[in-house]
Amino acid sequence: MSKLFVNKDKMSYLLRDLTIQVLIYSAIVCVSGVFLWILFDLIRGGSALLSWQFLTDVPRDAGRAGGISSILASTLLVLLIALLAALPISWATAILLTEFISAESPFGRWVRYSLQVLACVPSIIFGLFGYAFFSLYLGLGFSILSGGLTLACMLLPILVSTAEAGLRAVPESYRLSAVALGMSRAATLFHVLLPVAAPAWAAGLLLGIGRAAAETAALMFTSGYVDRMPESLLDSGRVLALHIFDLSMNVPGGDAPAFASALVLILLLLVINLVAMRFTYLWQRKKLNAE
Amino acid sequence: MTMETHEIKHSTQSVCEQPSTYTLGPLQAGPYCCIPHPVIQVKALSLFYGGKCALDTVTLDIYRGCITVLIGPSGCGKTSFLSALNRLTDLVPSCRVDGTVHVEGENIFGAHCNLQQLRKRIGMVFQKPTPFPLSIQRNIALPLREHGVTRQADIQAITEQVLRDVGLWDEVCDRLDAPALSLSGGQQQRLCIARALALNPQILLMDEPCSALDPIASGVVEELINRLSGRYTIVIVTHNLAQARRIANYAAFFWVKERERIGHLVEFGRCQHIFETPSDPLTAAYVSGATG
Repeated sequence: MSKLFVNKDKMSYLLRDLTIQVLIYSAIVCVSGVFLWILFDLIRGGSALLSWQFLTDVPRDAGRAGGISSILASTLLVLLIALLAALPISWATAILLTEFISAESPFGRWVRYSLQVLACVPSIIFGLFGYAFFSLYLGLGFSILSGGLTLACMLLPILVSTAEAGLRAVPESYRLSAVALGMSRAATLFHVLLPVAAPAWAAGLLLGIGRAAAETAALMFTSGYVDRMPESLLDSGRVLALHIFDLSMNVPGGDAPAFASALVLILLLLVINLVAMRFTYLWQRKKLNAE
Repeated sequence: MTMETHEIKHSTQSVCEQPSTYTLGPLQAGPYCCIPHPVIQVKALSLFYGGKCALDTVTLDIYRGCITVLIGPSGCGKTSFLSALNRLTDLVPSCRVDGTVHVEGENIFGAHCNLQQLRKRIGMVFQKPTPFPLSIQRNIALPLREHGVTRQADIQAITEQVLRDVGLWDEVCDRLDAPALSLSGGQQQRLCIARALALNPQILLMDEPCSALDPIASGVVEELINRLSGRYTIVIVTHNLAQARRIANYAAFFWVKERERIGHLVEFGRCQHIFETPSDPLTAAYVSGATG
């Protein structure tokens, strides 16, 4: 036995090690426990009602009967508009902030500061802003378009900051060697930087989609809560999160469809996650290795 | 696969905008004695970072086909000097450059300098190997395409030629699609040199290309640099004085003033002169290991 460790020291070392391990593992159990609990609860309460018909039928009797097809359609349309509006603006902003202006420039700081403030704004304020600006001022009324654009404003800070962090994480040496090889900024960005940053961008996109799909307050004032099938983007439409809220708070006897709708929402997010991850992986592999 | 000379014809605009064709031939050992024809003329070059002087009025000539080593302690402005030669200093927003650098008679800090062409003509290799996270093949193809070589056959021919030039072909010819980052450090550095050579530069700038490598890989790269001299003009920063002595034709000794932290050129001349009969006592002390 070496004299390096006196027995007492060794015991306290092992004890500390054990404590830290217990703490870390209990944190993991807590996190996954919450997720599993919610999922289990939703499956228990909602799986009985979940069927193909539930997905393809329109809601009847304030949602107590029928299905959620119109709600699903509205949700997807609002999401689509929000992403179509927010993605180009926020990705372009992220590229501008990292590749075209220096991190310390006054303009860059100002943009970053305003995004931070925007990220802290509660969603109900976005809802009121969207109602005042898109619905009233621009005359879009209670519509899917107005809801989608309001969500786009909400998504900007998440999308810009994740995309910016992703680009900043790309080693500076890639940019330096590209410049030293006389490559243009566009080629460097498209062929080297973006493929490397793609997983971070996808993660940001998924965070954004998650936040958008869960949004209730901002959409109450903008896309409205009419539960029939939307006929155009200027029609009002009720999104899933709002449907769940309405069923559980305002509709006596709406618990079962509320559970089923929540289950659908969770499954929808899971599917979007898987598809986006897979797509990113394939795109990255193609860009990095293809000749 | 053949070892013959590949003639690749494509328009390569020089900095002076003159289209030409060029031939990539097999490498030969460079002549030790150089014809003293200056290809780069640096006159009164000073560098400032945020108003603070980092390098003070350097004047020297870089001779065609020769290896010029830049030696001196850390912080004396060798790397800054090197990156002024292909205007990588442009990337540092706070950096200001005074003085002139003429490459083949043309001031690269002039308003009409085409930066892409300049950097095509003056290749650079960094201290740490910096291959792109792409396949080996694509690392070379990407910059080539960027400079207008689009025919697949040309790209393949150039790829093989430059990989042979750096002695990497036999090691990687059966796995050109493998990720460049899966290569060893020494192989990555040789790939970076090959990538620079693919653009058919006249001048190669090397910033301590061996310092991140183990002694064996370092030896391989050093031997490669030796073979490249003659055909290319090479400017190399190194902290390894023994290496500098082995490979250099010319040597420039930089020093940094203690108090002001301003780098400056102490002495420039033939390698033999700098290492054996230096005129300046500072140089003598540094190359003998008494200071630095």
